[in-house]
Amino acid sequence: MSTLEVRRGRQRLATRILANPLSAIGAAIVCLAVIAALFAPQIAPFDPIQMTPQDRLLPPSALHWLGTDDNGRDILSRIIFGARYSLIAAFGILILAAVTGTIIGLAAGLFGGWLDEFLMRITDMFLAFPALVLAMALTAALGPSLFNAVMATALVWWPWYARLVRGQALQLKQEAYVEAAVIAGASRLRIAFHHILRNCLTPLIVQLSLDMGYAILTLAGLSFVGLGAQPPTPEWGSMISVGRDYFLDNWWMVTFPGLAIFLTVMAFNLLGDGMQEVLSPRAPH
Amino acid sequence: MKMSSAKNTNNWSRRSILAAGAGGLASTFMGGRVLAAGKDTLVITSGADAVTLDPGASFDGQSPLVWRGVYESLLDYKGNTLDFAPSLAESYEVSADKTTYTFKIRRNVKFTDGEVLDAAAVKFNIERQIKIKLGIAFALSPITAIETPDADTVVMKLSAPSDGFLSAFAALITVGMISPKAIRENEKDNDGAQGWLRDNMVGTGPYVLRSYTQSQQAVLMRNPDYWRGWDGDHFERIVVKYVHEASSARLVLEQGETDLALFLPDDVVEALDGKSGIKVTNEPSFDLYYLMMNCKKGPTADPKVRRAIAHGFNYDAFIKDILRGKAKQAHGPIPSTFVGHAADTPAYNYDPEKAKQLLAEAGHPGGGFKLKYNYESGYFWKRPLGELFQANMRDLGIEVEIQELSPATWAGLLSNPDTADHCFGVVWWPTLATPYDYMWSLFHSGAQGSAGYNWGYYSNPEVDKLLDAGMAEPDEAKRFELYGTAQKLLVEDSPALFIYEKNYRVPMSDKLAGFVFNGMRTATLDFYALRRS
Repeated sequence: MSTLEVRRGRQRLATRILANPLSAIGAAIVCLAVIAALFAPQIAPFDPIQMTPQDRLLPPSALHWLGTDDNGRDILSRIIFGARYSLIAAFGILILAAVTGTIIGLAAGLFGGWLDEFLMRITDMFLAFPALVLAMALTAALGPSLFNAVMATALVWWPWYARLVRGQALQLKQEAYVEAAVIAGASRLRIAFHHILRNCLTPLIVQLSLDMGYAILTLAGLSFVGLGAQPPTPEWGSMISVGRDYFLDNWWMVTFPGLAIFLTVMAFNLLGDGMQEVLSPRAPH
Repeated sequence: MKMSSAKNTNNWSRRSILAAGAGGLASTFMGGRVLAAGKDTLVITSGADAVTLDPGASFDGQSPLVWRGVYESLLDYKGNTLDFAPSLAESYEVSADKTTYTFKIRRNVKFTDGEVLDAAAVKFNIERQIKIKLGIAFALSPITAIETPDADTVVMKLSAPSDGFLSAFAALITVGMISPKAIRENEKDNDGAQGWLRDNMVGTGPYVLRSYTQSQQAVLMRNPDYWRGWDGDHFERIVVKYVHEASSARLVLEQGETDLALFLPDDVVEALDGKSGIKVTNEPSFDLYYLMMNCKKGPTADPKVRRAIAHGFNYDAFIKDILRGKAKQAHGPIPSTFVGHAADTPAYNYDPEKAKQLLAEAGHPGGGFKLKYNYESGYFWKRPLGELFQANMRDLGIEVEIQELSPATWAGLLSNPDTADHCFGVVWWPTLATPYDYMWSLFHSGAQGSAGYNWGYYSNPEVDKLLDAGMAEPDEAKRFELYGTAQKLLVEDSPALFIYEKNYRVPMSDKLAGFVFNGMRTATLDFYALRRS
């Protein structure tokens, strides 16, 4: 394949994903969230942590589009800054979990035998627990903070990636071109990374795009119960947690951060579904 | 007086009183079988769970609600005053030297299991309380002997005069009289039957426990043989529902399914004020809210820095805006509503410029250091307090890092002098009717760590001396002078920000009558006195 063909292939891929209206909507919202996160200081009309108690609990207005919270902080500004925390932290979880899971999955799939047995029993142990409960217990033990919530969630999530990559590796290792590489005298590392990992990437990317939404949701959940972001961090989950005591009179405090979570998670799921359809039409989900 | 026993042997501190519950992931509405508030049934919600039904085994603020329906002590308070009223003791006498207390026990009172309440039963209960070293036990340590010259008389001898001793038999946390037979029969491993009494109750009070599921519901029914009798209008049945979502508790109250709601966040209470069918009490209380600082470690070990911080906090913003003016700034460590408050105790005003100047004088020009502030999940007033503190300190160049912890972790961290180096919020109200109660518990050297609640680790020998002298001083005027000097010293040293005192605000159905608030028995109800009008 020439460079040109690769580029064409990529263009076709993007076009095919965006051809599906749902995926296009997802992609658009994801773009918005990313832009909000990148340019938060430029976009946000107010300082997200500056307290102005005399302006507390104001309903949506021309000045405060989404109202203010119980400390008089502008909710729109907090949601815009909150995109940073949610996206970066969720991305952190996925990278940590995927890298750990991939290495362990590759090792288990390629070497097989007792190592495979050992590693898979460990993943079984992790998978036996409900992920959120385990993440909560770990964060509580580490001490509540956004960083610890990311570490704990990653620690709970890597087994899924390990399973996925191991399955792929087991299958790919039977392929003719891998056998050819073995006969040609390629080193084990080269086979692992050059021949096998490359061909695992597609299902891995699909899985990652699908999981991004869940990662955001998990973090928001941990922050909601007080184990994630700490005050005054404008994290969406913690904003809802504070707002729930107010929702009968001050509905905007929970509604807008809730919408932000809902839209972002849905957008990542739509995008992920679109990618899955295009990249691996046969993959069961 | 030595208060050697641990006040907080239980993980839950009395501060739990203001807990609104951490809440789960799901916002659970009260579905299923809601016991509607019928004519004969009183239904109340509590946002904080009882720790135990054993009145002797905890020092928390939310358990006494149910205790008060079933257990009685020797004395009571008259209405909203600090004067004692007879209860299981018909009368009492205090010797001139204030070291001998004689109680005449009421005749013909029986426990609900048929046991007779006599002097021996009272002695048995006081001894059990001292033995289990929990709850009010700390206040009983001056007792050297308990004598029962006849079946109706209990005489307690004290090693020295002890200010507030009588209130140990009337307070929110008190020696509730439990059937000695029930204790003996259910004792395990010498635990004074604490295990069994955790969810069983046998007392002399107006109600008996019908059913109990922890953090869900307690149901009390009339004790038909109650010694005060059932003439007049009283409830047949009391249902206490533990509801952890403030919005749910508010909704059921608004809809008339419940009669009264305890432990709601301030903003929810204020939102209920003025709703049709609901009244909100507005009674002076003895609650005082502090922001404690670590006086042993870090920059706040320097009183100059603490004074700077005291000038740097915007009291008015918290009181007028966040609490909607339903509080006022405290003058020193004792509420102005309470006995022994020195009226001339000064308060710090919000003056950021002066704060910056004091910081510079203390060797921290422009701040430049970091403080930690932590609070427990569900304690609704501590988060906004911490956030305002954080914002105000940022103006002085001091960075404040906030962390939310579980109540047990929080208490564990702060009660250990090695791990404690935090600022934190505390609300205190008295168990004993004396200023000593506040100042000893929070600022006496002897109350550091697990011995009390001096978790800012403040230590000033002069304050200790004044408090100890006050405690043993039989003359009231002299006593209050000693305490007054201690109050002013504490303001001067500023081991804590003395932030606000607040009226007691509890929302209830406007058809509920007979409610009398006494700051000594906050967050409990005299079920027997309540009725529907």
